[in-house]
Amino acid sequence: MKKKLCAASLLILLISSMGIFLFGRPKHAEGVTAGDWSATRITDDAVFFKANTLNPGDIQNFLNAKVPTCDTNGTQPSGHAGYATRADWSIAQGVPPPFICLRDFTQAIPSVTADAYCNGIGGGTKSAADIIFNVAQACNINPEVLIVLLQKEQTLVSDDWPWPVQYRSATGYGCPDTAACDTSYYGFFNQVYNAGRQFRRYITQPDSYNFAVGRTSFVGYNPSSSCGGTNLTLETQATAALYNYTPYQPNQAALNNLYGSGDSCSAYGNRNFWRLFSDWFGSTKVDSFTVALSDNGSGAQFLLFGGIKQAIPDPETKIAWGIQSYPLVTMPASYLATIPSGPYLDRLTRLNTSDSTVFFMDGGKRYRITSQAMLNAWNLNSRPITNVPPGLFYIPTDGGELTYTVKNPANATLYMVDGANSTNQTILRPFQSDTVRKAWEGDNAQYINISNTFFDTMNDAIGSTITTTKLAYGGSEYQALNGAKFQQPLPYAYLYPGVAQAVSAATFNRLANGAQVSQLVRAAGTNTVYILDNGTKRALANPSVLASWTPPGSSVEIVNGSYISLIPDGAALATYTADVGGQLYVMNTNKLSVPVSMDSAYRNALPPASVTAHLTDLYPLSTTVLTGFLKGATTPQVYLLDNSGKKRHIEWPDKATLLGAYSSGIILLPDNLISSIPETDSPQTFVSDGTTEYLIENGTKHPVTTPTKTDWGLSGSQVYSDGTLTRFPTSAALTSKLRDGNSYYLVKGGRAFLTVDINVADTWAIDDAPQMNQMAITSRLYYYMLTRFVRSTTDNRIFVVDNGNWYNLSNAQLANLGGIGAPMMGLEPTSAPNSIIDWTSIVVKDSTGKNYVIDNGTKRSFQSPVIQNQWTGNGTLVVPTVTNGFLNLLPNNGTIERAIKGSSPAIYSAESASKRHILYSSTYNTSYAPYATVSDTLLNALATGSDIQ
Amino acid sequence: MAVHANDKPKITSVTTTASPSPTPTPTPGPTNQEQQDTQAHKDELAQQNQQPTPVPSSGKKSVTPQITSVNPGPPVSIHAFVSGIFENTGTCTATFTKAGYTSVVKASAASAGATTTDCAAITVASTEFPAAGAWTLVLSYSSPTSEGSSASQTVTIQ
Repeated sequence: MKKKLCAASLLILLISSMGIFLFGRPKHAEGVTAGDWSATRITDDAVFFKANTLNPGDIQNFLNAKVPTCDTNGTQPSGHAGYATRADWSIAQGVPPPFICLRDFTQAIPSVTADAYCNGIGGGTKSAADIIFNVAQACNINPEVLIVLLQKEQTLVSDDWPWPVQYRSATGYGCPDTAACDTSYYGFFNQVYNAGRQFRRYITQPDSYNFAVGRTSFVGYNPSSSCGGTNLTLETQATAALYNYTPYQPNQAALNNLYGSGDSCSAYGNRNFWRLFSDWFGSTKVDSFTVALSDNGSGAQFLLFGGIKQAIPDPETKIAWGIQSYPLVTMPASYLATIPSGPYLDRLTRLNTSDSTVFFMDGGKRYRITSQAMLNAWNLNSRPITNVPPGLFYIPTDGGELTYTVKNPANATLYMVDGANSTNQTILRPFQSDTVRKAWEGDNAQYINISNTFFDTMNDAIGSTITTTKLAYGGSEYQALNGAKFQQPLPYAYLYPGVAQAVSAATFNRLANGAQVSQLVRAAGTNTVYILDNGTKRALANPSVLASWTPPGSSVEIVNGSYISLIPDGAALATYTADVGGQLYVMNTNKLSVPVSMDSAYRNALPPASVTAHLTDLYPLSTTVLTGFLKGATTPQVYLLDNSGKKRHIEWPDKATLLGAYSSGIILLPDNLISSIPETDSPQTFVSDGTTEYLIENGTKHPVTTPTKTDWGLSGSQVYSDGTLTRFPTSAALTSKLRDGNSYYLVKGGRAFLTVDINVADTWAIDDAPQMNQMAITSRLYYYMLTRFVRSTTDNRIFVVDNGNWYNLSNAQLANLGGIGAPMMGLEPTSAPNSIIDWTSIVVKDSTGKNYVIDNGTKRSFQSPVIQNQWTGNGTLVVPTVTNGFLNLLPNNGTIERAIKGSSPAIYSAESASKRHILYSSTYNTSYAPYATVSDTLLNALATGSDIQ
Repeated sequence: MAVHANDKPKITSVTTTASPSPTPTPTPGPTNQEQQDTQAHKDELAQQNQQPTPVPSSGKKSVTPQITSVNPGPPVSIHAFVSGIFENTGTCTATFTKAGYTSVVKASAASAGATTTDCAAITVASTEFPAAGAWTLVLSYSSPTSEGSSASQTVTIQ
């Protein structure tokens, strides 16, 4: 190896010659051991990409040394039974001599033009050493890397009788595992050039390839995925390039037998690269710093690198950096004085690259600082930060991220760093338990085993114990969880246990901003959701209950297991109702206030959970007024909820109407809530409170008396002894008649009779019937037409009805009243309210005294008192007053005269409801003319008097 | 900093010897280990030589892509490679599935690396996921000659 000497290197050479290697790579004298292997740092960039390590002569010398004698003709013993020489055996393999060793190999190569990765290479016939050198320079790769690559892939460097195939795929480029090599890349130059170029591509386009510095990647042990592997965060580009080239790492078996085979899952490419490189060319890493001791007797030590010196303040700082056992080089104070000073070496550092990440060094570990907030929390924000080279940076082992928790080196106590106190000391606050710490920082949060020395610098400011996740800052309260802070405004603060503890601004700021806490929490990875109330957590029994207790826009907050475990358990909550100081609410994402009148019903149906108003304050109050009628949100059944807490299925819409469900309002609630209410018989409309019987109609109850009950055919009232009926206002007692709009019903004998003619209703005296819902009848009784004529169901009599009274009709009277062929209802005469008498009237009068003659279903008026006097015997005839309805049902048929004539020629004089035949026309003409033509039925109805001569 | 010969510091003491001298020494000849390795490699080549030339099958070669990294991002970034083949004609496809949601599928071209076929990085914006939470990722590879899928793994989308 030749070295160009310059003025600066004189010092190196001088010191090195005395046994100290300062600015170079230490060489391994006796081979590497497994403990030297670093999967994340196989080699440093400064080594891998250092192109000027060897010139062509150096390379040739190296190749010569590795093969002092080339067995060109294969004359050496073969080592295979039956074959004396290598040539014999090789011919049998189809590969006859001569065998060209790498030291002797030459190849005519084409010129290669420069591209984005490598400079151009001139063509011509070149030796292997020249080719290696040319590619190393063109692609800016250490030629030692290429030499090692040739050895690890094909053992070409040490082979004293290589075969052509070893040149053909010399660097394994284009040779996938378990498949033949790509012929496009055959040939020694092709192989070396493409390998060098590929390494440069990995560096130029790190994002395009699988492995890159700082990226955590899974690196397998073997192409077989069943062999496993580990996640690695690679530290150098060169290491990433090696994994990109050969994406496997050695497993423990391969490391345990570093110079031999491991097991079936071992892969050796990168192990062998590192081992061969280390053995042949020295360390793959650069330790380019020096720990110097001044010779002036002060004991002052310095770290020298990059042309500056940094004072090392104390032995603990060296321990922090893990350099306490590094060679201490005594140097003249006068020389050290000539070296510019940097800041003193402290525990904060950056890798001397463009990466601005700051690390904290302690106890030989390197902890990554993730934010300025972390520096502040640790009270490190005013400490100097030193940029160091990789050789120093990587000496401390990777400790991962710095944490906000440190462990007392002397015992198990864990502390949270909480900024600085007034004297600029870092405050340490003990966690009451590890559970509290995990609740704050996360179940899997790590903590730092801080060195004793550094702990001692902090432990003068022990703060109060952290007992809760409830913290206070700036007049507000928060919950600490998983390294974040969640706002905890009122009334949430009442729900969570503990008294809020003040924290520093540093701690407040380092906690990430979370959302607002929720009253609903669940530990990650578990299914049980809890609702917080009064400092306890209450398990919600099932998803339906959870849904009912989840306000609009709210969600379940996912917390860690430790956080959950810190909250004391309250009773499980398995109900949809809440009792807040006696006020009952139905919870349905909002809260529905239960009126006093319905309290028993809902309380018995859905036994409530007693909770605080702070909890129910989180639920909007519904404007819906709860009634006793319920329905599932997606199911059709409507129920009456009785005061015993039972639901009763209302089978038909008519019944729902009669019970007042629609007018009161039907409350839609979750199906599961409805299904949780016990059920009993369907409700009836004929009910009893144990004392009085009622018929429920339009949501009111009508007391039922015995005769009415008979008329309505009511029996077997449904008894409610639980007060349910008090919800239904009491109306007028039930009668045997009712009106619904223009429909008039008479209820008799368990049947109903309907008319829509108010005149008929008038004749029955039911036109003043109480207004009720006719469903009260139609839902329970057959009904028939109500008419003014009634046919007896027990004999042959026919009656006419007026003003509710029945009158027996002769055939002649029936005919004259227009009853022949008229609709006729059937009823027992015993149903008549009166003692039935015969109807004998031809002349009737209305309520004003106006008289009419009934003529075959019509009525005829008197046009003069003379005529009326003749018909009524000058007032001696009893003329009944009939209802307007009765009269209205008789159409007007003009006027009547004293004389009347039917279809026969005879003319009669009508006198006192009888007819007298006027025998002579002269008599008629002088005393009775004119006559009125009347129906024969009228004539038939009139009694016959004496003839008039 | 340049240090001239007449400025050479005086070394007064040496406390530790860290490394052997870098004084140029002859490169050692082949060690027994190297000779054994060479012979073993030669035997391996001879063995390969005697194996019959594989006859291409009519079907595609089955491969198993290896996912090397999944950075949940956002955006989600996936790196993967396929061992056993060396070609530029394939496509790598990342498929995220989650019960009840439409799958998220994203593809990238594959290219020959050095000894493997490498998938170009696949990047998926968080907005392309209909929901956060745990998604199952499978990376599949397909080319005119080869195809196969990786083992599934769970990715937590934020």
